Amino acid sequence: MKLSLIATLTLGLSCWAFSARSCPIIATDHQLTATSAKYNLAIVAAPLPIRVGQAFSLALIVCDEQNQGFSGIIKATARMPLHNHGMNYQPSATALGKGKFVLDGFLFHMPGQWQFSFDLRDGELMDRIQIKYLLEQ
Amino acid sequence: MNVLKSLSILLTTAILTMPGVLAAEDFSPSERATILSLGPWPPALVQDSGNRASGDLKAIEFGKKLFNDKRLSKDDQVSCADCHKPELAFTDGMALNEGYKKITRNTPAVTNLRWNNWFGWGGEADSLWAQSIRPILSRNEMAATPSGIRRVVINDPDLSCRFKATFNLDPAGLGKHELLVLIAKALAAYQETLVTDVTAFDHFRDALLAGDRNAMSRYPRAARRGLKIFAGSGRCTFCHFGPRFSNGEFSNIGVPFFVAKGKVDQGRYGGIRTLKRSPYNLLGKFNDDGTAKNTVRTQHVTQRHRNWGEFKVPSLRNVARTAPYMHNGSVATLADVVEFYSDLNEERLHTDGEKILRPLNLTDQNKTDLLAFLETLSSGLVTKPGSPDPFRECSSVSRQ
Ligand code: HEC
Ligand code: HEC
Repeated sequence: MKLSLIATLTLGLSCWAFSARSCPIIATDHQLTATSAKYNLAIVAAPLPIRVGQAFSLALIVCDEQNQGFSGIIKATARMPLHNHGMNYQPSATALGKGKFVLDGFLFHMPGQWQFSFDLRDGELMDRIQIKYLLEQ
Repeated sequence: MNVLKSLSILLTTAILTMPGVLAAEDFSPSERATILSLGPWPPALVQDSGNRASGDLKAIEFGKKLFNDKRLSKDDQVSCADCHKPELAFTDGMALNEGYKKITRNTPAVTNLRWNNWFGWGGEADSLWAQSIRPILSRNEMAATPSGIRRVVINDPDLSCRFKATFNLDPAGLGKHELLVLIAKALAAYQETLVTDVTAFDHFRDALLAGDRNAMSRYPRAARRGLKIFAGSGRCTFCHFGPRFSNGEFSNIGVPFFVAKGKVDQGRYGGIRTLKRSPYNLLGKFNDDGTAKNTVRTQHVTQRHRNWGEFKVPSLRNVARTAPYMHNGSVATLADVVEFYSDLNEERLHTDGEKILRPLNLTDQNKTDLLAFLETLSSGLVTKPGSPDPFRECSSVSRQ
């Protein structure tokens, strides 16, 4: 039961990540979104739920104000603002085209308030988008 | 008067049973959730995909024999079991041991390691088998060499026979590194089976989940109050998290890390460097997991300045039986550890470090309670019914 649930969620993520669908972002389950002046961004984690001490990946999509997929470079990280520390790991990003990316190597080592941070670099332009995430134990 | 008295008793009982008003040893919803997250115990024992010998009965038996064999050290002086003593919960009971030279770190227990991701106080190894190579080659611990180990195995008919029976490979046909890695994988297969048993705390935690007040009442009141500090105001579970009482990562809690005049133990900082340089890490050719799924941590871990002086968050299972404490064995008793957290030296904590830690300024009662709780985390090993000797084909060689 539990296993099949995890399997469906992971499957859901890969469908989401690799589907032909592109910008604009459409609301889906388990998706977190944020915007900056220039971009809309959405993430879904896998496997779900995120657990303390377990590595996870993010499927990510970024669209600009003309609903074009972001084609620049993404650097992602996460930190616990209240504890003044980040993760012990530096996630890696793989671009899938049309604004879609897979980010591997996240690991939250404590329960509490985390904040994802995505640096989007397109030539000279730099933008940072942050998303809060409360990790329950 | 009587009426008044019974009225006041009624009132007190009403207040005490009111939701939200808690007796000292009752738990808030968030404390309850935290306590439940410290179990159930033990977790499922899943095979280590990086180790072909993991879970294999022959490898486990062979590994047990190797664990007790002094010939894995230079001049046959020490075995793994001389430092990881079964009768001392797989530690050595001393602050700092001496193998061939003075060792600057305390010997940890080798129990419950299947659920561990980083090995050694600085996380120098990313698998149990790689960690099992380290003491064999370390000049301070067993001071052997890969070619020395190869000679021992090839020249002993019994070891050779067991090796062949376990791996289906002729040890004489293997290079020294390949052979050493397989010896370590058998050692790991054995150590994975060293699982500590269910404790008084686990019984309480399961009773709390089931709402079984009768079973809950068997847990001492002092331990309950101590648990409340542990899971609540003490904030211990930020790091001593989950069924192993460790989040598996590294922190600096202000234990001094000078090892000699002008020399420091770099902790996690040096650990990451050692890991990345090791030919035995999971990114190398000895990882048996073809999908490389078990490499995520090793691939993404990065060395940062704050890793200086960080050490692995130790598991607290069996903690009452594994004195002395901390990476350098500098804290003698569990009561001293409680004192340590009560009077935490804030100046010693990194200025840019964890904001979770602060001196707890515990009362004497608090200290006794916290200690009483920590003492309920101990047990013996889970024992399994003995299996028939898997090396019957070797019995004729060993009698020679
Ligand atoms: C001379 C004493 C000594 C001997 C002999 C010894 N060890 Fe250890 N062991 C230690 C010390 C000290 C540490 C901590 C090392 C560190 O953190 O760098 C340790 C750490 C470990 C760990 C890591 C545990 C953890 O929680 O991360 C494992 C596993 C281990 N030893 C297995 C073995 C095996 C297998 C052998 C035999 C091949 C062995 N040890 C021989 C002293 C010893
Ligand atoms: C910020 C993370 C963190 C918090 C919070 C924390 N610990 Fe620890 N604990 C550690 C680390 C890291 C060590 C090992 C430090 C070293 O050796 O330098 C340790 C060591 C210990 C040890 C010694 C275990 C051994 O085998 O050597 C005990 C016992 C312990 N902690 C109990 C507690 C209690 C009780 C609390 C709450 C009052 C607590 N810890 C809070 C990280 C933490």
